[in-house]
Amino acid sequence: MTAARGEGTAEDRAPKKEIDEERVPSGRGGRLLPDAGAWTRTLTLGTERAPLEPPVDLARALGAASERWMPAALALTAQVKRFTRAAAPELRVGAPLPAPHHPPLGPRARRLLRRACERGADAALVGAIWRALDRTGRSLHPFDLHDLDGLFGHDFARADPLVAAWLDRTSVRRTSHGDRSTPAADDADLDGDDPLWSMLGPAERAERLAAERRRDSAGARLRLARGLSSEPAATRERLVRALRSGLGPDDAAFLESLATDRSSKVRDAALELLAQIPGTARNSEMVDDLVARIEPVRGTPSLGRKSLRLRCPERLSTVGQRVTWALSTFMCVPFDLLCARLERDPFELARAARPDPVLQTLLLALDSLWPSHRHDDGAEGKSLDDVLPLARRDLVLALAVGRRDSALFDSQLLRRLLDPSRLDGLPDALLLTEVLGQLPGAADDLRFVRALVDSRALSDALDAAAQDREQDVPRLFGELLASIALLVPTEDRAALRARLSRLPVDLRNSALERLALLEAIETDPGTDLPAPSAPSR
Amino acid sequence: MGAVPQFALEDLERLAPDQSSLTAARKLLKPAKWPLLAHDDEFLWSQHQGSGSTPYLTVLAASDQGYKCTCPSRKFPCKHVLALGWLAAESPELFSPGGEHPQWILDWLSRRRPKAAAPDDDPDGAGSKANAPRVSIRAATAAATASDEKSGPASQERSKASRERNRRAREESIDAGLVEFDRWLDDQLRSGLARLAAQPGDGLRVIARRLNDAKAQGLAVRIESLASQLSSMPSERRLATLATALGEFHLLVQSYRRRDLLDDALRADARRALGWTTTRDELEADPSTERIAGVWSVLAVRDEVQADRLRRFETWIVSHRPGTAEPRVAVIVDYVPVAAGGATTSPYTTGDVFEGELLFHPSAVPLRAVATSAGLQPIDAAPDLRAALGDQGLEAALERCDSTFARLPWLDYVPVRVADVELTQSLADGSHWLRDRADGTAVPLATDAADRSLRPLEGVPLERAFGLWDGQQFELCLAETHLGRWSRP
Repeated sequence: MTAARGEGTAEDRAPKKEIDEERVPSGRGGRLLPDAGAWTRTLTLGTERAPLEPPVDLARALGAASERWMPAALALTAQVKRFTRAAAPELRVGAPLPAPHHPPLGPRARRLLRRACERGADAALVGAIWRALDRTGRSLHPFDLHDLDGLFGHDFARADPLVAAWLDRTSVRRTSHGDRSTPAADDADLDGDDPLWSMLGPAERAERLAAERRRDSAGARLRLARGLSSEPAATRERLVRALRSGLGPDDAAFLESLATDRSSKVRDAALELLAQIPGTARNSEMVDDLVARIEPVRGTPSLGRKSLRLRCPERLSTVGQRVTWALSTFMCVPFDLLCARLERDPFELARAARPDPVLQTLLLALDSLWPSHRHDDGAEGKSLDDVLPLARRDLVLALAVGRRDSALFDSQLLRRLLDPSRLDGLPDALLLTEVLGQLPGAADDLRFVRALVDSRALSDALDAAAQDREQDVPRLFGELLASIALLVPTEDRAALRARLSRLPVDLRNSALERLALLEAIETDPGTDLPAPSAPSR
Repeated sequence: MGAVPQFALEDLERLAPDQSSLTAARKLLKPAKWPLLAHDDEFLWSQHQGSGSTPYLTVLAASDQGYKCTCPSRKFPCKHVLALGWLAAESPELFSPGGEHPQWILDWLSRRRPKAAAPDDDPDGAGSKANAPRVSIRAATAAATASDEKSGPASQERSKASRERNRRAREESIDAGLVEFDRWLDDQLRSGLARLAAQPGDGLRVIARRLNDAKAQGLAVRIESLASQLSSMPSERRLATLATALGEFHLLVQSYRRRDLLDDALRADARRALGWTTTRDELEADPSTERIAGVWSVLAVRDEVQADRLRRFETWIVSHRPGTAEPRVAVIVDYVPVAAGGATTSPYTTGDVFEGELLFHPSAVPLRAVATSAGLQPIDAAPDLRAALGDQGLEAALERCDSTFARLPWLDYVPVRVADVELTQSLADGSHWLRDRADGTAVPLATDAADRSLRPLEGVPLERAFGLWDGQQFELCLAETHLGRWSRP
């Protein structure tokens, strides 16, 4: 029953389409197994439509049970297949990845790194890992690249030739199993011939596209542009929205070309993204529109010009629609630009606001969305206090997201806004760390981070979290502490660890793990890589 | 380290999902079954040697009665959690200070969310729990005591006779189910496999359900898994895969039906494949059980979700027995309900090292094993895995696989240890192959074009490797290279 190994030809490895292309060894099995072609036909159509006589030897072997010869033949065929090894085609050994330019991390740091990334790494964690590697002259281990794949952005690739080679070899845009050095292979790349792409559903493609945008935003945009017109409208819309990841001025031309798409949903999606790119016509329109809608409230002499009102579009009939519109609009408009267009100094604009001038000013504008509360507190079951924390957070994030660069952090206004001494309790501490995570300039400002660690707000928040563990607070607070752990300078980690020690373990766990990871990277002894061995047999 | 966190028995009554859970917990209070009972100021945690191959890991939080257990029970909390709290309430002296939290507790803590206020806090008393029938520690204790009183010789005889009756009834039920399977298979062959291949889910799940009803759960799960496998593969490959699988099922059914003609080991294999189980206690009580004690390294951990909503973890381990016989490979199988959460992980990680004794299930190819009641104890050691992986070439390894398959034809795959191989790619279609660096023998790897996990191994000699061979493809699980150890993500 056992067939010899290595029989068959390279053609045997062609994709198997039907049973008759399997190696059913009717010859080798003597008359135990039926002819392959007839066998496939009978299996496919059934014995009623394609009757088949049992092979002589099989019928003899089964004796009285030969009426059920077909299941026996099935079992025999399965066993023959198991003992038949496919012949190897012509094979090549792929080129190895380049050797790491620094000693790769040792086992402990590798284990902690993989564990941290298994749980999902955000930009702040990736940045901290990169800086720690850079400081200590260590490289990622080549065998970890796959596990850490989702982390790499341009900065990482620029800093580490190994990562660059990995991305070049494995990125969606350049995935091809052929020889990378041939012109044909390069042509295939230009065609964006990703074997998986066409097999993925819209959601998976959008996810893949968003991930690639983080690594190579231009390449991902080119991939999208190539096949987009042949997709259904719903898919086109979904894929276009995936461009939100890594959105920048370079995307403007492509998005403008979609403004004439045959689907209104695609057009809307493109316009929404265009509106978020400063300098585009759409963004300017939104700024103009917003400026026109922020008006001084007349008839309130005590507040003078400090009181503002936001006039929402009339088509928005519900409070929810108006809130959504206001937040999404502010999200698109850099605050500095808004101030400039209103021809008001930010401090003047914010003068009457407490405790935070900028936010309070915008909230006063937002406040006009609830006209009832000023006169009939709680008439709609919702007062300003109810929406205040959420609105503050969203609006500050809008500022940060709108201009994610160090210039924003350097603006005097934002620095005052983020002054740790002005923070008040857990919500503000959360807000601050989220903004810090988005502004590289802030994360690099050690004075600022130290001020945060020493701040009364953090201290209050630690106390509050230790006492009050209701609902979402612990989870959010754990995230907050994990964010802080990445920002704290090396020499201040012991102090932070001491402050964390009085917290319940589930609140401090994530922060401690991150501290341990960074310390493991920074103190890693590295791994010496010996030369590859020759075959020993 | 402070005192053991206190649990009131009333808390357990409130926590228990039903009376039977509490009664079951009562039966677990014998300290001998708990290799580990530890505590700190906030948590109790333990290992309990249950019916699974590895001890169940249980943790219970004092502050909010949050809990986690690795047992496959679908009751929440399970009897292990309740028993842990019960032990803390009645026998706190059994707990020792735990020191640093084990990693599995830290993993749980990083994912958990604190419990919301219990319905009992509802001032109106309208919470669902408040209206549920009360469960009682007293009733659980009374039931356990009554059970103990009934455990005299006469009662044991009755229990034995009852078990024998149940066994015979199940045999008859399975035999009837297999007759039905034969009839179903004949029908498929009469009408052709094309329709079943096109719509595998409906047709296969019908017969799987019937086999499940007939108590042939093992075969039922295989058939359900086939349905899932076919549904996820390109249509042009389904017919061949379906025919092969049906042939293997037929072979298994015929073997089981003629079990009286098989030797003991193969008969045990056939029974296990159909769904009969052997408990650890039965293995321990059987003098013919093969036992191997030693130091074991984890080579691979695989997991898959079965059609019966259980996540199956396979932990492949190898023994270190320098200077004695050839290293032995074994697989420990654990099940965890999918309801326990997608993030549920195996208690083992590739590279972990343990010491302890394994009991091997009787088999023509003894691979599956369970730890003895004493459990496997992690040790801080780094034994030479290269020695355990041997130095045989690919051709010799595959020859041994053939002889293994010949002994147990329905074995899914055989563990393979091999030396001096390398990763290669087909010039024709880009598929990955594992090739012997010395003689050029090559086998296709179980991977697809989208799998990038193998890419770091390109151009890197694999000095030693471990994988699983199903007769068609090789699943590479671990490799030792000059760059260090690679393991399948």
